[in-house]
Amino acid sequence: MRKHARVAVLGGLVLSLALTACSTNSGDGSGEGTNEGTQGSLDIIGTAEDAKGPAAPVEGAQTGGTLKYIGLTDFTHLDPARTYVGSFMMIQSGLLGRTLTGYKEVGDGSIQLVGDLATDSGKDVAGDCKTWEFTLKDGLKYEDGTVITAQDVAYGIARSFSPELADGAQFLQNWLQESREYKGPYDGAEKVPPGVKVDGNKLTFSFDTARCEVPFAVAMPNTTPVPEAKDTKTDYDNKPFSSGPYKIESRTLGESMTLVRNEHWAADSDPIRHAYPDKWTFEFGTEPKDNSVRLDANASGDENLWSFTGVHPDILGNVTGNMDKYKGRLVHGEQKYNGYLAINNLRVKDLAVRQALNYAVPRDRWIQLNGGEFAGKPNTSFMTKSVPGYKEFNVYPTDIEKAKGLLGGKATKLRYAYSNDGELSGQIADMFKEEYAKAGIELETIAISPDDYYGQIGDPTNKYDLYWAGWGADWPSGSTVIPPCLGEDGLVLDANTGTNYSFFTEKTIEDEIDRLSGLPITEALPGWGELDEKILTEFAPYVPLDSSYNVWITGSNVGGQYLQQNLSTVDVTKLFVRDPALNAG
Amino acid sequence: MLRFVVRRLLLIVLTLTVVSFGTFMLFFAAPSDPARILCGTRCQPAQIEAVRDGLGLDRPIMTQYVEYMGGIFAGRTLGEGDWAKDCSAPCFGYSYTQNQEVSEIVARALPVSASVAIGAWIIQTLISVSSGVIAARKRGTAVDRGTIAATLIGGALPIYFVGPMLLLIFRYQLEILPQPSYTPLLDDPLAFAGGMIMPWATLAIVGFAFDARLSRSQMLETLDEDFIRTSRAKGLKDRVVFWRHALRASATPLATSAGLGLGGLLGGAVVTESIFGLNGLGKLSLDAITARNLPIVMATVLIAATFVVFGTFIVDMLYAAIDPRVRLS
Amino acid sequence: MSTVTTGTPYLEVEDLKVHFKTEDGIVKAVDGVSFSVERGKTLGIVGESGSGKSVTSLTLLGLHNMRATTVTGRASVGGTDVVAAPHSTVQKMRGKDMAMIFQDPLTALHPYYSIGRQIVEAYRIHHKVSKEVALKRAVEMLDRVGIPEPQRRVKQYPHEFSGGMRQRAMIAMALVNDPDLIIADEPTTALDVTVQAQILDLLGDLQKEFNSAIIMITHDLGVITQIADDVLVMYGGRAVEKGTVEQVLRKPHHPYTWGLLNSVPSLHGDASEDLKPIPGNPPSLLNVPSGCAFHPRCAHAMLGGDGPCAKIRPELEVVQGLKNHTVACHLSEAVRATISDEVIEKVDA
Ligand SMILES: Nc1ncnc2c1ncn2[C@@H]1O[C@H](COP(=O)(O)OP(=O)(O)OP(=O)(O)O)[C@@H](O)[C@H]1O
Ligand code: SF4
Ligand SMILES: [Mg+2]
Repeated sequence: MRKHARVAVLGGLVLSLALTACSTNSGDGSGEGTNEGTQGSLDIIGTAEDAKGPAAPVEGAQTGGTLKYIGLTDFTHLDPARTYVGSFMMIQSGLLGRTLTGYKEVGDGSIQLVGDLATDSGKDVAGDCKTWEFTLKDGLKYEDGTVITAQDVAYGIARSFSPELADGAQFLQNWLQESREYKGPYDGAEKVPPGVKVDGNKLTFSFDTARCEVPFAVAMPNTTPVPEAKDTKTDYDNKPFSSGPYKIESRTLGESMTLVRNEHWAADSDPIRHAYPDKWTFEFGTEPKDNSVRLDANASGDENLWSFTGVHPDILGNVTGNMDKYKGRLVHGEQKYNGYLAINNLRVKDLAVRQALNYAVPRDRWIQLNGGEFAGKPNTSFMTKSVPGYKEFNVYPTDIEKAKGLLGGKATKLRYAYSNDGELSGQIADMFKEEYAKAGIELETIAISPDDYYGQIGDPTNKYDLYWAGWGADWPSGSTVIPPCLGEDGLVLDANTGTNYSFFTEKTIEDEIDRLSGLPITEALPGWGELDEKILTEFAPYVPLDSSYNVWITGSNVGGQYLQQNLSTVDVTKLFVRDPALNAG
Repeated sequence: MLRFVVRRLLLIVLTLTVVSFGTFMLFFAAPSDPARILCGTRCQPAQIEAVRDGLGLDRPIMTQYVEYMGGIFAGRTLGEGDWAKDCSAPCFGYSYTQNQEVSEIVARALPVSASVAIGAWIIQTLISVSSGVIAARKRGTAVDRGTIAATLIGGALPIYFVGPMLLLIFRYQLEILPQPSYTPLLDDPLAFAGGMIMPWATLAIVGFAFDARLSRSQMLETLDEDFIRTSRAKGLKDRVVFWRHALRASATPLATSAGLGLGGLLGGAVVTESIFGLNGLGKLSLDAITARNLPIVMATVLIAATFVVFGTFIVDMLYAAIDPRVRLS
Repeated sequence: MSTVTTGTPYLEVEDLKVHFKTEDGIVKAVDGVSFSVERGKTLGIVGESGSGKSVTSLTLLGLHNMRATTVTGRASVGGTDVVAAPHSTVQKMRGKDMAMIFQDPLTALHPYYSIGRQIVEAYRIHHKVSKEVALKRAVEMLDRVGIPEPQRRVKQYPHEFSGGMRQRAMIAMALVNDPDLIIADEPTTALDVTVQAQILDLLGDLQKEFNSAIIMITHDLGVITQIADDVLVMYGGRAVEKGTVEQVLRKPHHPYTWGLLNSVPSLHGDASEDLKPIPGNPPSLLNVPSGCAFHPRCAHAMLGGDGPCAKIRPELEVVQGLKNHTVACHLSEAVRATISDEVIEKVDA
């Protein structure tokens, strides 16, 4: 899932953008989990049987009570066409809306893609990945008791073509119509998007080229059904119409929101969601540190609190040093986000220099400065453990001498750019300068405006050699990691939409990307891991640094803390209130 | 008197026009593209266009300003066609990041800040003025020395220390105060006061020192005045001299300080609101600046300016009420 | 109206000392002063700035600065020793037994209260009457001190009054309770000459009417001539010459008094070339010169050898043949008499 901000460095709204993760929940029966971030199985696509509800119960779970969320900012986009931030997607898809397919947290930390509205994960009609068919389950209903139709799903996708609502993921839209002439169902246009056919409760998607990952793409929130009569356009963001287990009872934007049960949601039809609490309340405006302090204090009346905001660095040590004290209130694990130093391959053309940068990278000091092992884990590949098909390798074990040897005594001067967003970024820059000097690489550190950091480093004509970037998979496949960051796909020649910050392309790699893209998912998955290793070994176009790690705590009356790998954040579908009578209301 | 009021009101209108125009120019004539910033890093070109349309950024800046100001008084329509939005007066524009009219957002935040600032102001003024005045009355005694000591300590404490400390002690440790939050006064006065008590206390503690010291020295200064000696020479009891004559004469400077203090408290509210997670104007504008949310920044600047200007106006009126010498001029 | 003169002075001050303890040392603002005033009589106190005139009078009303101050001696006001009396007693005497008129009418009136209100307040401290009655009395007093349209003026604020009017109002306020002793501390200094004369006339008239004792503090010997019966000349916190107006101004026996007379511009006209201000500066009361405090500035000082002026402090002694006329100077009486004549001659010229 797209670029993300370095947690410790950027605050405010951006912070919440980063809070999404993937991991394994070593549920010990009481619900709390640590998550090693490994996708246990390549067998990630569920069957029609797996798509059947209800979801297997969470051990010890109680029904009833109220869960209270606190956080800094509201969920800016809850319109399924527009939501693209992990936590926003978690609220939209976990509580309010259902999608054609969805991810089920299996209980051991791994996930499985299953039919959600659809009876299965999709049928590749001709076996060529060009035509996909989905059939809606029977008896699906909206919050007002009306029936959810395939037409509504098509309409939901149609409106996500509208430029005014273009904040969400654009995969499905781009695949259906590369030219993007269709601008949504407004102003008298078609209500069904190009490439989509509705036939009763059946939806058929047709593509010009093989799109083998359609089952993943339709798990994105824009396949959430939206009845045309309920479409309030840009205002839909404020109060989306519910097809999930809860509906919005009241909402004051930027301040608070209350969700109550959608009585028309049928647990039997839902393999993913549990819907244990009767009610959810959300309060916004708490600064991240205050948030953590309050959750930690667990004062009377606050036992039902939870948050998407991870434990603040200032008190992280307290928490990780006393894990026992927080038993039953804790969830932590590795997230899907990587952090790496992009090497500008348009400027640093000498492979030996790029390899030397890899050999000499001070990975440990990087992690230490960013907050230690509970903020990030060393990563030596581009993909992170959470992505199925991930391959563990370390082709450039830290070795200063080797780096020196590769440079052969040549004076090497490089320009390192960093976002001028706070003290830490400067400290990190100094650290890189100092450590790389040991290998004979002289770094000139240049602070650039945080306002447009990605815009500047994404500009192929930029005058920097080395800069930090981060990435997370959009769905559990290397296809959403390698092509956008290390392939031509990411080389869109618009600074703001390009995502290949190393400006790296290689014919052989491109061929392999094309080959893998045409393979069925399960065959392709391990291929991405192999390709990851091949790229770093042969071309060293970037320097891997870490994969992010996060720790969350909740109030003592909250149970069912799991990390949902695909969104890399707390899984709302499993949370429950331990004693529903406490702090009821 | 009437002419005085009218003159001051005209001055206010002029001030606000200048402030609004200046702010508008500053933000909209800035070299960066507001639409681009508003839209965010992942913005599609089509979205930028939509935002630019919504802001009317393609028109000459004077036209934009006139439309903006017109919107405040008469409302206006934002955007076009299917996407047009009616923005009723007072229309401060539309926040695309929050999907709301700016006036709605501000209208929600305003009572929060007002409650924090005015409540804290009343408490702070009462406590600091009375303790300063009492210290002056008991000059040189333990009471006086105690007050001076308290002002020295209070004056050294920053908001971001006092706030979290109160929270830690009274909410998290002793658990005797409720979590700070905003409940409209009329909905539930008790919950209102309960939720505000810590923000008020924080601001009052931090602001105490200055006002208390000022009141004390102001009173002492007044006590040295000739007319105080006169009133004692008349045979008035010391008590009466102090509480009637001296206090009355100190009222003008104390009211000025307290009036200006309200402006300071609005500033202090920014930090306080952040500490206690209250969604007031301060927090709103802080977030808006971080997010380069121009319509909100614009609105909060205008509202703050209006408050400051009217605050000064009220202080002036108060002056006139207190000081007979001002009334004539 | 008050009772007629009884013979015993209404005010009797004996060896009054007022010492202020300051960071730099003890300021002996008043250092052993004695005098008395009878009802119906006026005592003028003259002396350079800082000679202790105001401190003396303020001490009588207990209005001096009380912090780190020692007051000794005796000051009997209508039989009550205000030095020894408790604070509350003195406070009750203020306004009724003794009242004070201050120098600067601009600052001595409360700026935020109307003139009427301030007089009403003063009256009601000593008279249990309604506000209406008190207000009538205030109007009456304003009328009495010569303020036109008192009905209207009574509602006005001090800043709406001219300087002379303000002083009249001040006097009205001081006299509203028919005080037995009026202390006027340079009441006319801030006013122009015509107004000054009017105010002095007024005070004289009122004195006749109320038969009160008056202390008139001033720099201006002209004022003394016009209004006073007796004169006390102060220098460096002490009395250096004392007597009737006639004695002190027509037969001055102290070199300092001579100096004062010499420095007054002649009322008869063009003697301004002969104006001789006293050389040097008034003494520091922190460190009063030894012997006669005036010796550093005295043209006749007997210094060196056996000269006593810098060594021995002269005490007040009766000037022979002149009843009640006392002077503190080491010069022989004969020498003083000769010089006195020369001085007066010159002044009269
Ligand atoms: N509270 C005090 N502490 C210390 N010194 C004082 C205090 N009050 C008065 N003095 C000093 O006592 C001396 C006498 O002052 P006083 O006001 O009596 O002078 P004055 O004769 O009235 O002079 P002027 O003609 O200027 O009014 C001055 O030197 C003054 O500085
Ligand atoms: S005592 Fe001496 S110094 Fe003092 S006035 Fe007389 S002659 Fe002058
Ligand atoms: Mg004086």
